[in-house]
Amino acid sequence: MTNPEIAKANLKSKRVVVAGCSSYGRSLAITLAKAGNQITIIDKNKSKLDELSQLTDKSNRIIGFVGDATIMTDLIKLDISDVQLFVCTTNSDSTNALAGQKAQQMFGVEDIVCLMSDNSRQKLYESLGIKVINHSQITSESLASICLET
Amino acid sequence: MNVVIFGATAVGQSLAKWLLSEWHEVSIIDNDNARIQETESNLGSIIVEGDGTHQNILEDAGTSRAEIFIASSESEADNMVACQMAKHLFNVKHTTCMTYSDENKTLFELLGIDSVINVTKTALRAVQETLNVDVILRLMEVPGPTPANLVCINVAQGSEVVGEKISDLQIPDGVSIKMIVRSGAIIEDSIGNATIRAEDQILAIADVINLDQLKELFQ
Repeated sequence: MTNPEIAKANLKSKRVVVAGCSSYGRSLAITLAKAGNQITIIDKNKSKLDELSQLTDKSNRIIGFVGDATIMTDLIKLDISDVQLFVCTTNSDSTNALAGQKAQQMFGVEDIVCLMSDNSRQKLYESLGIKVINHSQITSESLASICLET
Repeated sequence: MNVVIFGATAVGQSLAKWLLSEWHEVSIIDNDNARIQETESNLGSIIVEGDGTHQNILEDAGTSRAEIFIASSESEADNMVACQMAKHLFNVKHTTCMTYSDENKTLFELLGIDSVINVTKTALRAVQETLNVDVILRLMEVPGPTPANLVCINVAQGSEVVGEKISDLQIPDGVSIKMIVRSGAIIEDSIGNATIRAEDQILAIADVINLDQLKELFQ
């Protein structure tokens, strides 16, 4: 545990589902697990989950689940009704919006976070009660600020 | 009316064709080159090229002026996002979303999408009808004050009406028997005097609300 901010924010352990084992999803799962949360990560592609399990040890409380986060039967199998946080990190904004809203509307999960790459979609889903991380905006802003400094 | 369609799929294109024939204003959003070319050669330049889940593209397609928005792309997730954008960012009165299963139907209705149409189910029903699964085959709609259909009744071997005269049957109200076809030929007798045989095909005009009763009679 290196980051005191993260340690402080997670005094209480949460049950978190991460939809999509992309590089974002993978590092998020590892960080949240290190902070003491119970993580289930779902991806259609088993090899992605295998890559993740090679990066972590058993003490890390990450459960991999092969499935589709936009499909009801898979969400039922995951038993997400008592999940406190549902994070969608696939590389498709639409898939993230679909999975996130399904968790929100059909299972009553309160905290939904979706990765998106477009300002208008960010505006829309924030108005519908979803927290949106606009990764393309963050990246381009960082790029611009570094370029301006040099 | 102004209609914006997202997805120049077979469904999207045929909807556009029909709407244009009814003199509505239509634009279709798609970003697939093959589909764009096909649409332009069939329907003229009504294509807006781009991603229908993007606000700027929806704006270019005239969504802010549209009364109806139809999402008919191949992706249910994209269709959902496009309909939500049309609804919330452009205040479109009626949004229609095509789906290919019942997986997302409840969710899409909860999200306020006005019509959710399962294309697969619609096709399945149509095929079932042509396979004569039903005693009654609906041939066409008949214009008139009440919704009515021209129907073909297929008399099965074990049907209770075999051997009965048409005039002795308790035909439901709103049903008028017009013709009996036997082995491909029209029966010339007056309709009332004809005796029904197995495998007869009976053509009738029937009010839609009486179809179930009619089906029961000929079962």
